[in-house]
Amino acid sequence: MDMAYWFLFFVLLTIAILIISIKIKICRGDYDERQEALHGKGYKSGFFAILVFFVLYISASAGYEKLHEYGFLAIVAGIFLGCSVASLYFIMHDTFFAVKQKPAAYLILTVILAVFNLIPPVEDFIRGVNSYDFISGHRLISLLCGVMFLVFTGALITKMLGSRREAEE
Amino acid sequence: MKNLRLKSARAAMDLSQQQLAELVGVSRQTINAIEKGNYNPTINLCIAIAKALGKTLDELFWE
Repeated sequence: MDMAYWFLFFVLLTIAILIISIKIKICRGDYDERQEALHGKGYKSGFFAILVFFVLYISASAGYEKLHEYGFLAIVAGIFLGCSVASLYFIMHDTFFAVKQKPAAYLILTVILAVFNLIPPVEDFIRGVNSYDFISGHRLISLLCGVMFLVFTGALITKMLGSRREAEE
Repeated sequence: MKNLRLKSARAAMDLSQQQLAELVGVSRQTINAIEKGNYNPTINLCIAIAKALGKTLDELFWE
């Protein structure tokens, strides 16, 4: 099958999974009033992180034309940055998880996602792939994604330990 | 400013932060933030906490 059909198939599949998960309340948890109030600030911080990143990228690429080649990579990196900033804000302010959600279950998920995304770039490092192939083969995106989930894992563990200490007090 | 009256009322009923949070339908961290004075709850949450602890709003939240 043509790659475009596969792409369309996966886009539709993702939309279907999102709709079903929202309908059966997997993604949409019940957040309390403090969490809902902080969500706005978290999204805003993510949005401004993306904005600052793109302003810096555009400014840098105006002076250094070689950066134009990495436009797609910059878009992905900007999105990752925004997601990371917002998610870290939510995790550090205890607003990432709804009232009845258990962070431990999500910790396993973030570890798995970090490992799966870090395996291909690490393999490339071991095989000694040159830097151009590394970037053009989208291994850098895997690396960024892996690092992002690794940071989430670290933040989750820190918060879980802190939360346990607080609850014992 | 820390809300020590809420903390002592909760302790007097032998409730943990988690148990009080479940009674009023919020996260444990929200109860912790209220006790530490890091979050000002809405009047609805104040009423729910006061009812759960068998106290009046004045006893728990009035300065």
